[in-house]
Amino acid sequence: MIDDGYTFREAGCLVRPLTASLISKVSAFIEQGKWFKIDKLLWRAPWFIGDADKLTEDDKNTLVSVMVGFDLEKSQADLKKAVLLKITRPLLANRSCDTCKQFLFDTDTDKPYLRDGYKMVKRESHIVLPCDTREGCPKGHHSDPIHLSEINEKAWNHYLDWRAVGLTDFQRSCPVLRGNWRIMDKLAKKHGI
Amino acid sequence: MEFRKYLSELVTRRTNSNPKETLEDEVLEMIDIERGADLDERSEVTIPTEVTDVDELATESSSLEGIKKPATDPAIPTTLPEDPKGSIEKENADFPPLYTHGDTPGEFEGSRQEVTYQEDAELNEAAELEPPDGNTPTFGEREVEPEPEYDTTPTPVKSERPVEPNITETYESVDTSEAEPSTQKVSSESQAEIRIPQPDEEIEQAEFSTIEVPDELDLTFNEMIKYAEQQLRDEKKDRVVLHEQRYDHFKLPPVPEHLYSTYDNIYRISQRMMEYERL
Repeated sequence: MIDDGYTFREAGCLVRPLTASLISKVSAFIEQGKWFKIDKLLWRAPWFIGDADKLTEDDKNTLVSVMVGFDLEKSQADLKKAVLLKITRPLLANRSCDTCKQFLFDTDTDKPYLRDGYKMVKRESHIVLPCDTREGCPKGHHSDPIHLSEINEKAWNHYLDWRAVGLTDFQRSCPVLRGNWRIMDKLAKKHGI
Repeated sequence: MEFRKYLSELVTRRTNSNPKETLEDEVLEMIDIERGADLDERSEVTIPTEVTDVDELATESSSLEGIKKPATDPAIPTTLPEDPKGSIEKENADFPPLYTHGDTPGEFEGSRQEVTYQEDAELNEAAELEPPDGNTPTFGEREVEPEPEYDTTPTPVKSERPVEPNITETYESVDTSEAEPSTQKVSSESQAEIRIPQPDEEIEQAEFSTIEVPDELDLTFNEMIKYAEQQLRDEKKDRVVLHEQRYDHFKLPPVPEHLYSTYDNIYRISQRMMEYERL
């Protein structure tokens, strides 16, 4: 099992989302009516771990809804933005928007303004939030901020855990993991993390 | 629902939602954004795929050569036509041959004389090029436009800013002569409008009375804070301007304006600085 957040447990099996290229392959097989090839493609590792022979129609529907229905492109785009923010502006990335609404922060250093050396300065109601200004906040608007989702946080931690020792052959065989690592590794190397 | 039907529905929905956006596109986009390039520019760039056909490659290379070379007009001959010896000399009989570097020593004497002659010929040519009327410009000369005819009747220029010495004159004239009071007023008003305010120092001095900690004292940070406090107490000034470089040394986040407008806050700032120093 690859514990990078992109493995889901459904109907007693473990499934991972399919990439766009695999989905297009499935689509081609559907057009050609080659269902035996689709079965061969879908129910195998690394994106499926379980007993395929025991699966009912409903189980298959549930599993396929995860494998094909998961919006991988959006998730990976979010991962890219969130990791970039986490690397370049760690204080801002780790700060919640509610905290920013309550207290004053320096937009250049992302540190809080302190009174008497330790008291955080409260934000008055008339002071505009950085995300409401024309320049905006690098984190985006507080209604939809850039943040690491639960899945992507697991993926980032998985990358930090495994990058020193490398991946196993089984992990390497997963295209989703390779795609995620390509994004994170590129950003990490670029910014010297 | 039947599995096959459900799967086909799902697949069509997914392919329709993101028809071409793949991870590679995302990564390329990311690279472009990091490089600061425009995405529209990227879309215009076409990366050539594998070239399997050699002829195709040859045509591509020839097309590239064609881009490098300028387009040649068939009407203009690129090379000189081969001419029997003597015809060119016949054409250039009026112009003597120039001395060139590759001349043989035997021809040197004659060619040097001819050079002097050539100079004379050039001068004559230049004299011939001069226009008979003298209005049209020659090479190297700047074209001089005919001066416009100005209206000689005096008109008051309102927008023009008066020069400093003239101000006194205008005031004097206001005092002495009552014949043209309206024009004089206009000039003084226009000067007041145009007048640019001086740098902020004056304004600050008007609002606050400041003390600047002199750099020559070469104080440590704590000494400087004490000096500032002492100055504030003794001189009863509103604020102290710390040395800029020393202030930057601590790399503090900028202090909100309302925090350092009064005397007490100097001490607060100093405390904050020490806090950061400790960190």
